[in-house]
Amino acid sequence: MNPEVLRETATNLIGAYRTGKAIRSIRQHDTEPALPDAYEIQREQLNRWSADGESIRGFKVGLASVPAQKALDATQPILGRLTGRMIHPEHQPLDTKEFIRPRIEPALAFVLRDALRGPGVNAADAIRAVDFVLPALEISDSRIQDGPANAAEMAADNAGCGGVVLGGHPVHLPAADLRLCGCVLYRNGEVAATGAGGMALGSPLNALVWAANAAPAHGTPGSALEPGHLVIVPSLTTAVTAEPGDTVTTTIAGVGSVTAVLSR
Amino acid sequence: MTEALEIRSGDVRRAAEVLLEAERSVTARGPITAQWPDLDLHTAYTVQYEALQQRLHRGETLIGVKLGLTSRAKQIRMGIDSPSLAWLTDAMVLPAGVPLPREKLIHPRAEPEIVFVMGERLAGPGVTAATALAAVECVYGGVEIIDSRYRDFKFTLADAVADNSSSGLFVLGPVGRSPDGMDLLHEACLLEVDGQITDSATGAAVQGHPAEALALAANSLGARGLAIEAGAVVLTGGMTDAVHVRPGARVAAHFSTLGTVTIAGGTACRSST
Repeated sequence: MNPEVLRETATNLIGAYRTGKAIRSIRQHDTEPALPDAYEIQREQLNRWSADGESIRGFKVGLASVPAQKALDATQPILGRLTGRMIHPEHQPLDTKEFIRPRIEPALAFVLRDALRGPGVNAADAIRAVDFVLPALEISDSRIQDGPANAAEMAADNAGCGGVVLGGHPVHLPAADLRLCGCVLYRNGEVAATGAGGMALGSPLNALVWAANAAPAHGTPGSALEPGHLVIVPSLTTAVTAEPGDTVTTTIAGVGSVTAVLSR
Repeated sequence: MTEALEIRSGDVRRAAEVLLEAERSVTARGPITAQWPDLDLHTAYTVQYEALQQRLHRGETLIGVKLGLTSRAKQIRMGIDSPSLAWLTDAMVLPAGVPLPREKLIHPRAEPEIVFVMGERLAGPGVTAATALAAVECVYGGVEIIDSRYRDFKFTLADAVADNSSSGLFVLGPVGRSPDGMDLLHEACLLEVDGQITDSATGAAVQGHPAEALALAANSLGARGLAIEAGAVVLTGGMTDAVHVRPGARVAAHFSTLGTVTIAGGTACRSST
């Protein structure tokens, strides 16, 4: 795709945030963006948000599970960027009107003490760099009508980042078995989905390693995992749709619980 | 062919024989409700019980029960509000480490389960999750190999119940734990097929909690004048959807605190139907 078309696509996506109306497709003039084009479109949006004073606070690892990848015919995860406005405290009403087609799923949030600069980051590096882990709920969204058709469309749309609700009780890595920890998602008190941490690339830690190595490949800004950054790893269970008035809670064994309240 | 084996409406004994014959000859057949359209759930359990008596008569030993349809979503789809029940005999035990005996199975699928071994007899009515769990001596992880006698697993609820809820084999996990202090709601299972993590779930997927499933089972059996005996093995129902186990496949179920169960798919020995 030529730079003009990439910028046009980024403009359309940014327009969708403003109007609350999804764009019909990422395809421009019958051309489907390849993955590198898609990350260019993502970066262009990020540049404009940065110009508006938003700062990058971390990353999301999208499509971290085999079922999520299969649904979009992908073989690897997708990296998205989190800016300050996307991060919410728990129990505070969230306005669903800020989103277009929100879905909620449990996530683990790694908070980094040290930078992780790929390529070449391994699990041991990642473990040393993690300050603490928080339970989280990830609100995914799509600025594309009917959702992304493939991994590239999802990457162009900032990996479907919508918001993150962070729990407030930190745990340290050695205290939790992030691979085999059970995770239950409740919607309005009913069990909506269950799963285990290992759904994400065999272990959420592998997703952190993947993000550290993938981030530099997609250029600045946000080309490395810096101290204080959040890395959100969802995909532990299937997602539920979020309706106004819903209360969504996840409990993650050894990590804790977090609740999102959606305003009516 | 098994297809020629006829079932007449109302002939419980014949229906049980035909299903056991399909199992013995490892041949899938059509649903029995095709020949017995008004087979209701109550009568289907009578067929299942008759088949159990025939199994015992040929020398098998009753060792426990298995619960099915313990996901609330599946119960709503099937129009029931309690798990389905079926019988386990010693012929259904697959020792750990032994590949699937494919010559005995039609189209095996695997599902990870929480397994209870009962310390005390449990009989409804009036059993609650708390009293049910108090009767459990030991909790294991396990993998059930289900196998339907019906072609392509196509059946009604009554067909499945008559067919002992697609019983096949089961493998017990390596770690047995006292239920005291276990968080069965969060006990998770990570399901791996040929090295790929394909699914996961926790005990909450089993009727909200495996002890809730056990209580409902004890109350259903109590209403039929039956009980879960001390020492019985109870398979509490699939945590995830069942996965096909192809020849040469390797399926592993990794539990949070109950160890790992690995199933080797075995060698293809015949064309299955």
